[in-house]
Amino acid sequence: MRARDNPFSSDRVLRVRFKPLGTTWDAIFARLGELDYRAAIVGPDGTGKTTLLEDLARPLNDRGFNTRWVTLNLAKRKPTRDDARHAFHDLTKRDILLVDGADHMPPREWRSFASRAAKAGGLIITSHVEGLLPPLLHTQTTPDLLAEIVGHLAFGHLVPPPAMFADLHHRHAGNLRDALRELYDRCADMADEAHPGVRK
Amino acid sequence: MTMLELALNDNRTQYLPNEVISGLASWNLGTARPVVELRLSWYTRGKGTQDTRVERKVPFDDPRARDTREFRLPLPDGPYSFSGRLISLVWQVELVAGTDKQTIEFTLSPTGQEILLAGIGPVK
Amino acid sequence: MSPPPTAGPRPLKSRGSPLATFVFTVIFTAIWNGILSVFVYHLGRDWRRGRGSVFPGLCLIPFILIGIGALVAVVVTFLKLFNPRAQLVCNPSVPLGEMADLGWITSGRTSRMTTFRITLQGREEATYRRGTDTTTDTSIFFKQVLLESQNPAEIERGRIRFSVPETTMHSFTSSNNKVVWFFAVDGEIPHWPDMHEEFTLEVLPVRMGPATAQPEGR
Repeated sequence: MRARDNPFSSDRVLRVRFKPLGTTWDAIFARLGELDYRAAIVGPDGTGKTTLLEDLARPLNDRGFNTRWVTLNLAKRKPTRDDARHAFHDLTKRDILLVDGADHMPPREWRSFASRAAKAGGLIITSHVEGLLPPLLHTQTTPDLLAEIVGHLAFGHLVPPPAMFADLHHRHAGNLRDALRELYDRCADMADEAHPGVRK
Repeated sequence: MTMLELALNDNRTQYLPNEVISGLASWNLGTARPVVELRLSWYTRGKGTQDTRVERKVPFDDPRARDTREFRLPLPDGPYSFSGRLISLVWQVELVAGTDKQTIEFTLSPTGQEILLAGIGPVK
Repeated sequence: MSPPPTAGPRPLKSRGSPLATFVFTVIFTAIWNGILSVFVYHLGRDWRRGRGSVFPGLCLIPFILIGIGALVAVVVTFLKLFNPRAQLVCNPSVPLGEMADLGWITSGRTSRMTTFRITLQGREEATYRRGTDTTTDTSIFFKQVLLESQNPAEIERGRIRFSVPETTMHSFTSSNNKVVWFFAVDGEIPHWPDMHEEFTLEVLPVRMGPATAQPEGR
């Protein structure tokens, strides 16, 4: 199977947006308002934290806020000078900072960042752990959610049997990103087995 | 209503490196836009994060609100269009007017066809 | 798009360093087993005082196994420091379909190698960055044995001609996606970690005429 035909290619997976489980978008925004737009999206890897943060941006823009984005990870644990300039330059109450991976910041760095962000209208972060800001939402996934996403992505292709979703969800400890990446490989394997004579 | 159309000469979609890709670009935008341009670009698709690169931008001079223009774009010697297990690379010509866009994909390689790479080892 | 083939063969750079691998393995093992030893010490002390329970011990088993694996890795990477080394000489950029020369010289205790193999390989590398996670997958799409020998003289030095098929993909690099070509040099050494080195080769598009036309949008 050509990479571009694989239903689980990364660009297709990224088009799947956040689906609230056990809550609604209205409830999420109501809670965000109660927390004065300073909150954390908390959850394990692959449960939709970054996706939710991205999906909050447009409604926040519709509510008259400007959003400024900072991304951190294991390789980049502190905001760079460019990140800081982008985040804090001419900061007003109409600006909301969105920080993906805030828990990667060392504690002193986080305190300094949060302090500087006081001028902003809000600070919404993603984190694997609680404690940095009041929780807006704890992200979680279910085998049914995985099945729904797969059904949407694999439309027109062979869909795995329902029993596979529970197993897939369990083996990846609820990490849908890893589960979908495994399905990418399975799809590629199935296609290669069906057509072993692909030209090298 | 905004309309953008792209057509390649002879409906040709297979090209050799360093050839010229040519065709017609048509648009009806309602009101004139300051910039209407052609972009020659490629993107990747597959298991990795998508990469894109615009190889060339050619703005049309004095674009009217409704117009039809010919274009000729020399193609580079690569990268080739290819598909493997993890990565595909796709070439395209884009007609862009602000946020509106029309795209035609084509292949670029020494044979004109997409290079196919078969996975022969375990994915790691 | 790519630089023209450079004139003349030259030594290729090896990907990775046995010394760097050994140092990294030692550091990882020291940190891992250092932290683990604290937990093992306290567990052992509780057991000696008759206050130990089975559950903490069971939880530590996976970590202990990793620690043991790391210690084995330190020994293996240390032994590999004394492995024979290969030096490859080739034009570092070769167009698809064109013949090129590959020379090799091995140094160190090459007499220990029973089989010496040089393969030309092509590999896709796709990196996925999402949120705070980065993962890279690889897939070999081309593998050709250029040399397989048990002849000591041939193992020590030699030269062959090779070409990368015209119908495959040249080297390609973008931020998250790559097509990489390399020579893999393997030497089987009985009762010792095998030798393995990789040397990158830049494979260029098929050599064609230069572009002269200018872009026109009329």
